[in-house]
Amino acid sequence: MLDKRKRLISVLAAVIIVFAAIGLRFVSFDNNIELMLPANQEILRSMRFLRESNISDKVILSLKLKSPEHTTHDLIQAVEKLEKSLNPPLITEVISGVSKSDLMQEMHSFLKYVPQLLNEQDLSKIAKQITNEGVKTSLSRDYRQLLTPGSGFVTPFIQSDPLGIKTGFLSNIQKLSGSLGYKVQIKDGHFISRNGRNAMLILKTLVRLTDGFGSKKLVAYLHKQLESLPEFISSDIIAGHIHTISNEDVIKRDIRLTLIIASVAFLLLFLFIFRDIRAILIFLIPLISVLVSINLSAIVLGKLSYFIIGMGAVIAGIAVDYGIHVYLAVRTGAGRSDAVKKIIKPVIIAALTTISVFAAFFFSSVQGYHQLAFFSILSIILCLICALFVLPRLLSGKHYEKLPAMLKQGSSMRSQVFDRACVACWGVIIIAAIVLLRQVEFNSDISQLDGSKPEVIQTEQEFHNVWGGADRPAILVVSGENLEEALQLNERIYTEAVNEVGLSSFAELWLSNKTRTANSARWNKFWREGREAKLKELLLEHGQAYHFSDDAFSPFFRHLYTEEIIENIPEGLTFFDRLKERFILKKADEYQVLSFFPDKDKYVKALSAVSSRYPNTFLVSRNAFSYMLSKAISSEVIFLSGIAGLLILILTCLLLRNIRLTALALVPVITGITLILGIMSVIGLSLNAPCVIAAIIVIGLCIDYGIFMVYTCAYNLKTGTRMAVSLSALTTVIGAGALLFAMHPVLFSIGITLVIGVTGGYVSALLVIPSLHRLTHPDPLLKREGKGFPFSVKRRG
Amino acid sequence: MNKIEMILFALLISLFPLNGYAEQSVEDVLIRLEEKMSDIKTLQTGFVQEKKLAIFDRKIILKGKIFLKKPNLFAWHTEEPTLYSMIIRDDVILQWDEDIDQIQKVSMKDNPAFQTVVGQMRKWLSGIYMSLLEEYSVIILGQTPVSLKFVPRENTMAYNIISHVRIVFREDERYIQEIYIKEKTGDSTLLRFTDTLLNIPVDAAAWEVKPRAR
Repeated sequence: MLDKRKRLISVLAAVIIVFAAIGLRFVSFDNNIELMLPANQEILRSMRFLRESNISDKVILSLKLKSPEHTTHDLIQAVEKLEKSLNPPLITEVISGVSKSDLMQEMHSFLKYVPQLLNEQDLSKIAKQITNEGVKTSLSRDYRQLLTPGSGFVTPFIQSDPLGIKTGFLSNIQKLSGSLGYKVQIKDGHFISRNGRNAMLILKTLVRLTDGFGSKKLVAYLHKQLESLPEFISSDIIAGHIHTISNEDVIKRDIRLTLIIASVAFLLLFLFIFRDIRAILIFLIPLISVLVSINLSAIVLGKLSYFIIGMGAVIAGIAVDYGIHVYLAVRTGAGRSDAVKKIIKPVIIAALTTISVFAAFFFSSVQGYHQLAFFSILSIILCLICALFVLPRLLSGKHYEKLPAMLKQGSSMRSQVFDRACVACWGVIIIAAIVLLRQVEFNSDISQLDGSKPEVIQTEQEFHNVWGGADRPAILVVSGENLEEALQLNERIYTEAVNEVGLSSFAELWLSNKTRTANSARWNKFWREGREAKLKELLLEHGQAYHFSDDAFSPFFRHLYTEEIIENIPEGLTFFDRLKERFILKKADEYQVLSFFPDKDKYVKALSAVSSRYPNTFLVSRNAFSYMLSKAISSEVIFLSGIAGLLILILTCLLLRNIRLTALALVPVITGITLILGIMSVIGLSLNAPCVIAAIIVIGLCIDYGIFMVYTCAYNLKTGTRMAVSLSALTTVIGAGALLFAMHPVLFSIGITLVIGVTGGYVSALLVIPSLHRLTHPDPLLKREGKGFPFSVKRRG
Repeated sequence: MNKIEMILFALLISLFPLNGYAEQSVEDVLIRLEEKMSDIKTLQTGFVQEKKLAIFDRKIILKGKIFLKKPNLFAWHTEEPTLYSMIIRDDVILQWDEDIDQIQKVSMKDNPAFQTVVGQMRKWLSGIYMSLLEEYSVIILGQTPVSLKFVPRENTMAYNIISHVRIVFREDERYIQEIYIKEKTGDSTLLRFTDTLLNIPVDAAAWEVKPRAR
């Protein structure tokens, strides 16, 4: 009958494992970093802006001539061939340069709008030029330029603008075009590097950065097309999509590797120590629990973050503790399943303290933490149920041999000298760690959480060496219900901010309809007030000295008065379309006009002050983002630590019902956290958000060790608790230690924090708590044996 | 030898010089010229420039001197019809003329039109003609002295402006004898170099922009 039940349970477990493993294939994973960010309005807005704007979704191809025998001309031919091969649906547009001949013509065409763009101050300056001296100066300059050998290029500009009124706009076009940030020159209409050895193509795609599947398809397509390049040309793809794929690959590899390392280590540990094939069951319980939890979490929560799933090994390391306690109880109870009853309460309470820590994450505003809490609590509950109700049935009925010697309860009676030395050493270590922790830094740079492979980063570095553009500017975003409203607000802010910050603003080139209409009326009035006639007269008079013909400047007068005011922005000018793409974003229900500026603290602060006065504006700055993130995470950490600390304190107090013992139980917590901060500082690692999560988990684990050890000391128990705590810590360190082999920085940060914290907490629980207990209370609570012991564990022997 | 054979022989003979030309590709000629001009560290030369532009009511003849010191110094001083000096050091232009009588400092970055003009001027005077192959197709007009015709390719900046540029080199091929630029509007510029001195130390005053008197 018993065998039948065991067989049934085994078959059921096998079926669950198979289904859970199959279910993994259907679980949607998400590596979106936003999940791990606090729900701070400003942070989310910046992230949303970057995600929804087309700034980050572009793909850049950088082609390089490998052989010195080939010329730029060969490179351009290859670019043209490649350009033709890149097609929809994955590539919607290819920009490989701009025709310089068109650019000159387009610039000339654009200059007809200049009268609409000049304000009252500009007209005052022009008025000062319509004098004998002013005209003479202008004509002299024009004359000099016309006498140089390459004058053909400036003749049309001079004829249509003898006073050089529009020259400023040519520099503005140049400045704004250059604000793309790349060091390019145009050769035969193509983007070529300064040394003539590299070409650049900018590709537009509808594939979003966060779309892992789409990114893979896109990159595979590009690699295939790049295969057709001649042998003398090498190519690099620069795109956020590469990071998406690389991160996904790295995380998947890490999860696989850490699970294998942890599994092998668990198996060897149990088989070596327990020398019993059934010890595998201890290992299988957390594995099944984690697998089932992933499936259930996916059903409840939808997409799961890879970062959270990466915690699977850690959760397994934590959840395996319950199986260890049950196994040891069954073995010490000579194979009787009812022996488990004695440890049900302490195991449940240990699980509750751990659950309380994870439950604290539900109070966080970080969506990813909610997933972590749900997934971890579910895993722990499943593991607890299996450990308490399934494992004893599978272990019962067998006669167990005595445990190996190393598992036997060690003596808790030590000399006072040893206790004092132990406590003194602990004190020195804690003081040293406290001194060191002042140097620890919190690193809020989001890019540190990018786990892309080194070759991806190196390729980007080489790209920036050739093309520049490594210093990404900060962005001021101005929104409006329609383009006109957004442009009007953009102008107001530009006027206010331009003197403080070197803004690269669309307002330097184009204005709202309202402003242009007013400017145009003012311009026409300006010339009709007799200035047209006066300028004609002065040009004729002083032009003679320079041998200008009578009709030299007739193009200027022919188009003097402004034509129809266009509603929005000029169409059909390629250079303008490119600038529009960079500076104007059309959203579903609004327009955004962007301005770019150097991402320096002083400028960000100055523009933040301006932006705060206009509700429809915000800044997107890496520096500001880091600052906001740091602030938000700090408050999040304080809040979560507070809740976790409070929950643990309440549970510990309720369990121990003694202030002194509660204080002793907190020793591993204090040790673990202090050592994390101190050692991180010594080994030169900075704290980050994943570290903080791991540190909070350390609190939950260490308090368990504290509680068990305090009870062992206080009641001089011989229930294998010391062994159980040791194995619990060891399994957790194995689970977390496996993460030290992870390439992804997030998983590595969690691993290192857990290993330091749990090791420190465990050692202090094992050595310091007994010593402190004996020193502070030499007469153990033996006399009170059985009284007030909520676990109902009786002293043995 | 019959009549047909004689005609064929005569044709063959007459083709020899052409074959001699054909053996020398444009690239070969440009490389040869670049090599000969590559050892120029300094240059000082007089020039006479004839400008026939529709914007002027007459042909303008300009006389002056050009100084060049590799890698980054260029000076353009005119004596007729006006006194004018322009020094280009990297991206900065210093200029003075007798009418305004003020020294002006201009950054080429702030003046794209002037940047283009200066770029063209440097291009023709530098002697680095191989790089021009990307913008121009080149035809050899003559070998002694070497005479080249540059026709802008489509999609280049010069295409809409310049019809062609003709350059005639000195006999020793160490520098240019004259440059003729024909524009699509019909305007033209002819620049002749005289008294050219190569690799002679240039007087420091050549790199100074200061008021001059006639």
